[in-house]
Amino acid sequence: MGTMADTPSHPALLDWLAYEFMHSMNWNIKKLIKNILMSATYRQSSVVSKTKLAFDPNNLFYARGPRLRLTAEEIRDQALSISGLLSDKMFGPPVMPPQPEGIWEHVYLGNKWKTSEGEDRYRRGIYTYLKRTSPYPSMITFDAGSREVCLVRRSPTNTPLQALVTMNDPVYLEAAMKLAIAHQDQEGKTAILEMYQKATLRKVDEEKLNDLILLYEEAKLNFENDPDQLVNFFGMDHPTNIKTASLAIIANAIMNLDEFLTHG
Amino acid sequence: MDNIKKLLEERRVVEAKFNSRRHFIKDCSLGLGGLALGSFLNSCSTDNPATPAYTKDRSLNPMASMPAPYLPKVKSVIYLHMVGAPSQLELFDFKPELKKLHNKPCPPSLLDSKKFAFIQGVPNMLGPQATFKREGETGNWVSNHLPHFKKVIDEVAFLKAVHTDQFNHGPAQMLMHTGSPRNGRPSIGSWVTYGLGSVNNNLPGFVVLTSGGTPDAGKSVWGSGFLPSVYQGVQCRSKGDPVLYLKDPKGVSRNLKKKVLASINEINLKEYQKFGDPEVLTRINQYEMAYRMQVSVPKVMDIDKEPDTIKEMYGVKPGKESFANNCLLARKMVEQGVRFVQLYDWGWDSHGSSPTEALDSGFLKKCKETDRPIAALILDLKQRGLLDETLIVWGGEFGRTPMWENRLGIQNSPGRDHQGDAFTMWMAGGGIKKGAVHGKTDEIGYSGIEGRVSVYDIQATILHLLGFNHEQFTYQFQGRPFRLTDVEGHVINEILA
Repeated sequence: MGTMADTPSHPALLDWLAYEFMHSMNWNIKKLIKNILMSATYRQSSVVSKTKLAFDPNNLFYARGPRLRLTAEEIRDQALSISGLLSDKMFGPPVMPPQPEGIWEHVYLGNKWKTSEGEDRYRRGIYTYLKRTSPYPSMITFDAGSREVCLVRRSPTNTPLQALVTMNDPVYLEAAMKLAIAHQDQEGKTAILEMYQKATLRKVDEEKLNDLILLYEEAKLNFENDPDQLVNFFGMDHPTNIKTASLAIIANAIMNLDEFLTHG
Repeated sequence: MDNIKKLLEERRVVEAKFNSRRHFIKDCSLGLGGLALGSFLNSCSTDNPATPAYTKDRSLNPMASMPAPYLPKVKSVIYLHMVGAPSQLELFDFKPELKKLHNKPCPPSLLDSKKFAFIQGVPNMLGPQATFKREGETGNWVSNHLPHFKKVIDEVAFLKAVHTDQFNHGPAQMLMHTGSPRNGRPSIGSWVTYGLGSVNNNLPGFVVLTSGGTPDAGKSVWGSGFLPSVYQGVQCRSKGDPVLYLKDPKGVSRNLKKKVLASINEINLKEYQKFGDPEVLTRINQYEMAYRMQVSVPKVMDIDKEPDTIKEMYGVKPGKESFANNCLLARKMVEQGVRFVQLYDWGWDSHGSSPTEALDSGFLKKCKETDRPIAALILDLKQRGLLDETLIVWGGEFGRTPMWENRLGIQNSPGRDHQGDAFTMWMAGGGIKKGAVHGKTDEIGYSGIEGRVSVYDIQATILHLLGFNHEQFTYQFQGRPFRLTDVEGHVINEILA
């Protein structure tokens, strides 16, 4: 089975699939994929019991559905998408979304990172300009690889630097702000409920909702006591109001939840 | 066995605490306690050292501290890379014979089948552009350009005949730091943090500090190649955020941030209780760590609070980017348990084709900028009792020719071309034989004639001092085990104490 992976965990199943692919499916890839997708194995929940975890920590035997962290590009695109910023423009040359100052400093080469304007700031991650010796920082932090070597599979890591990206990178702040603005006219609880659902495609549990409402109230109190924080809030060039800022705090928190960063 | 039982019991208690939703803000030691316990349990392993600890499960914290497979001599490494390749003939490799040949044409026998980056036709020879003296009790040679270095010369072991097969900066830097002149391999700092983790969970395990500019090979020289990206070097910058995205957004006070984080972790904990996926616990840990890093990184990067005597000793200029600042930062980081501190100082490419690249001008400036801080670093580590557990490595990516570079047929200011066949590096600190000199070059410093060591030998030696056998320290990738030293490398026992 190739030279880059372990031997298969389910050889008989592979044989069966291969045989069916050739015969009953008549080499139809769509049928093959549908067959896999409709199987009980594929549709399993990713909830795991202690026993299953102890027997098979890496889920080699597929006794549960996988939980996978989204890729670098997906995480960024998802944040832009739920806030309504994502551009659906296709094709064309790569773009330069905002990145911190001083990343592209090189002694000889005068190349400059010229931040794109208009909708080019919000194109899908795959359109981001790539320089192997100086990769786009938030992508490399989320294991996108620097394209120096062909990767069969990206190995996902879980690091404090990733937390700093989704909490503090202006790209995510802008997305949180936009999401908050879209819901600022709703009553607080409804706004939180809908932002959560937009972000995770799930209804929020009562307990989680309570946590978020508590945070919302705390943020509101914080801004009431210290309105100066609203002047330059999230680095925006115009002041905002207490409600929108408090909702943006919630939006930022939602974009840092495990269920936002993970699929399954 | 009783101890093991006690440990297991303690671990159960820790888990129970976690599950009882006791909050990390209320009990911040929880995460740390769990991590420390994790590494302690690993160190109790009865496995044979040939099954190294780094292959064990590290899902809760990929940077969890791991014991070295063999007894280490040092805990940390400070690697000082003089980017551009400093001339060994003006610093440590004294060649009186070369003086006699000054400005005379190079004998053709030296040019046969040699490739140079810039030398064309028949260049003249260039005598040493420095005066040399024996210094210290060991009486080792050092040039007049390093007046401070002579104070620490007895601490240092010299390698006078290092060689490399690369003669352009980018590939030579890659070879020096990743074991391959081409992109894609993990850097030595990544290997080390992969193998040993970090003892300080509030700071990155592998820190990179640059002065003067980024190395020619770009950020790949501290990249993690095929290792998980958590092990790549973290560049701490003098301007802007010391670590990217470290600063809280405008309008978010520390107090509010703490509450945001508490909510995120509280909800994530509920997620963990539902799915049982340990990766969620890891995420909670990482968010705690990020929160602590936001405090501890600016603190360690702040050199302004150091006493004046220390500032003067290094010659630092707070608020600016300088090699001196970086040396002081390196000491502070090692003190805090950072595993690998990599300094790059740009501007040593002394071709002679312009004043900044000339041996009688730019080169002297570089010597002046680095001499005092390097001596201060060694003395400072020593006075704090840290020199014995730290390894300092100094070097460039290759050496320089005994010929006067004649780019485009013109002999400019005194300068030398790239050469890989012989150059000097030195090491100091734990496990190093003080005052040793290993290797010897010919009469004009063109080639090593005794004790030649390769770049791989340097890497094998660094790994050895950290407690690794470089031949056993591998990572499975693309169907085969890879190692830093590829199929080469011998530990340089001659400079080991």
